Amino acid sequence: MDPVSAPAPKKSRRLLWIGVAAVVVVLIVALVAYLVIGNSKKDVATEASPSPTPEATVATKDEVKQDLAVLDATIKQASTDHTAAKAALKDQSSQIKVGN
Amino acid sequence: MSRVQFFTGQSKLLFAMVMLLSMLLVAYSPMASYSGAQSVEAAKLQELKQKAVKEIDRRINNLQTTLKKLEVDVHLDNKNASVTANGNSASVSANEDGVSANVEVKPDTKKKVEDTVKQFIDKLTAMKEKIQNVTTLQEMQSFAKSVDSQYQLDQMANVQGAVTKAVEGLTGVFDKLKTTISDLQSQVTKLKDCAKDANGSGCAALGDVTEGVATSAQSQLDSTSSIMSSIGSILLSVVTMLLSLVTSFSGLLGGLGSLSSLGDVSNLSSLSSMTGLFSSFTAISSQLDIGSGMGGSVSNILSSVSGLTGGFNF
Repeated sequence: MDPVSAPAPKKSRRLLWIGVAAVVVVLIVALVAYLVIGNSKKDVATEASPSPTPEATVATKDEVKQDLAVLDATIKQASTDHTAAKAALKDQSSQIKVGN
Repeated sequence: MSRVQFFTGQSKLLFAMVMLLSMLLVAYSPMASYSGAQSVEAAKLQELKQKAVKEIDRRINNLQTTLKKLEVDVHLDNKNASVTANGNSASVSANEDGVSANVEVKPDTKKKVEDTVKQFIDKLTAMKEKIQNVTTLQEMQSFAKSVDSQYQLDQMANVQGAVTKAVEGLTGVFDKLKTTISDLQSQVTKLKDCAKDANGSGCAALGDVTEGVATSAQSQLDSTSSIMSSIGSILLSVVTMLLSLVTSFSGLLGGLGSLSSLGDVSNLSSLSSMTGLFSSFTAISSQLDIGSGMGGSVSNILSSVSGLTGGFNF
């Protein structure tokens, strides 16, 4: 056996490992780059083609009629409730003094 | 028997009878006056009882009416009314994020108010039962003091409930105004579009739209914007104030302990804040007056706008 040629397989194995590590690093970088670029492309695509805005709905004559009827009833009810609140604030005049 | 003997015997008998009557009178007169006093006392007791029960019934009736009103919830659509003023978008919307977030009477505030009203109904009912079982005037006089001195508390519970309902009522009006404005605005926007381009989608079906009608309707809608902002501000202020008053009254009641065992409260220093509370509720009511007036004005404008849009086939 030649004593000088003995370390040669160790060196080539180290080179092999360095090569493998380099390939793994490149693959990881590529994967990250793919994810980042892919997402930004998706964003651009979303911005470029927004979903179509639905045409604004227009209330019908009946809906407005109904709105006004409900509004009128609500105003009347609120007025009744407020009158009751005012009466409660002025209740002293109806108090019966028991101890007198 | 001689005449002298007869008279002497007769006068002896007469004398004995007078003596007997006198003795009876002396013996029975205190009893008679005692029973007279007793009947006066009984009458007074009855009179106090009747007055107390009448007043308690009146208070219970007020509270029950208020409770019935409170138990009906006001449904809010919470629509955004986007009104364009002078070509710029909308002062109502600008304020609306802030207003609409706070413009309702929160359910937990309303629940607290309802619970307070119920507690007072229970307290008064218990007091009425006790009064009906009172047998002495002295005890009844003590109850009379309790009924009179607790008046302010009972009234405050009712005022709080009634004012809360009134505030909720105006939030309902504000909400329905927004819904109506929003729906009318959609029609007016369509009229404006069709006035510009009669061949636009759906314009032919509407009828002959002139720019004048569209502009007039828009102008009237614009005029509601600042009034709506003012109503929103009023509501925001009264709702905030109401919450604070409900918290204060609740704290005050908490300091009194059990309501059902409450007696004469006329000397309680903790009740001195009641005047301030009362003034604040009165202030809320005044603000509601202003808000209601404004709501009426907006409603009239909306009727006028609907008169303009009503001529088209929406």
